[in-house]
Amino acid sequence: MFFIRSFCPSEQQLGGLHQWIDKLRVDEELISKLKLRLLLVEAFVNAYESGGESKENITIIIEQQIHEGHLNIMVTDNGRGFDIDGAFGNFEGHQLGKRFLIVAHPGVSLYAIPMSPNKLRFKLIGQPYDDQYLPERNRGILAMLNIATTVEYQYCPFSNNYLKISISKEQEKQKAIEKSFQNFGG
Amino acid sequence: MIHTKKVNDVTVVTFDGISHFDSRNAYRIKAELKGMINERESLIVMNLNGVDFIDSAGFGTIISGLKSSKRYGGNLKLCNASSNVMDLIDLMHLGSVLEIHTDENKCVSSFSGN
Repeated sequence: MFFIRSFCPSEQQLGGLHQWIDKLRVDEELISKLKLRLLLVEAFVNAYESGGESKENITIIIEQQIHEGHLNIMVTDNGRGFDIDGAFGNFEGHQLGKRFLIVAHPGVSLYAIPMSPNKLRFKLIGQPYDDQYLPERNRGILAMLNIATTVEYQYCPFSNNYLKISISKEQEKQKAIEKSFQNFGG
Repeated sequence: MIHTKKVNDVTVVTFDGISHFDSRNAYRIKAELKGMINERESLIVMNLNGVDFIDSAGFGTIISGLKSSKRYGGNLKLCNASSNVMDLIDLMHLGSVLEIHTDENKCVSSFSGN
């Protein structure tokens, strides 16, 4: 099952986003409404704050696979993109592979332009919060990492940036078990 | 927006008509808090009655107020948090950072014990 909606990139549209979330029928066993609200609000704010002067829509696609126990959220925008050179603070980005733009001029040339810095997967490192509690930048990613199984960002400025948030029921169970073992072990 | 009243030395902040404390209002509230603290010892209670959702910008404002007030020997405490807000505090791992009381009177009087 898919839910798709586009919004103008503005702070005022947050009200519309909340109304849309109120009506969404998601499987509460996959994700609670409260967690979904936090994820979508953070992803939306992240998209419009990094959108620069873009007037293009922010599109949210939610894919719910109840039987498989998966929920994927894609938030796309055409802005200047997330400042991935900024300070990451309590999380790090793992590069997942280069992306290339293939430019072909038939009979003349064919070349590939690396689309740097490409795709990142964020991961919490160390304690979720230290004395730099919720810094101005990147705190939305921190909030998402507290809920999602994976958070990835495809950087493709002024073309197709997207943030992909995935939740896997099985992997969340595994994470909970690992956490309880860690707590038990001190 | 937000309203303030003085109870002894404590400033009580209430959120009138704000159910979502998020990036739409967080920066204005942060500026108002900054004005309240203004480099002096400030004892602040944030009464969250009526607030049902706080995002990272809202929590950033609370934490910023807490840090600023502590810097000048004061403190910032919360009360009347809804079950959703309590769940969000838990999700954000802020339970050990924030002092939360069930009601305003208890929260205000907790300062006299410090």
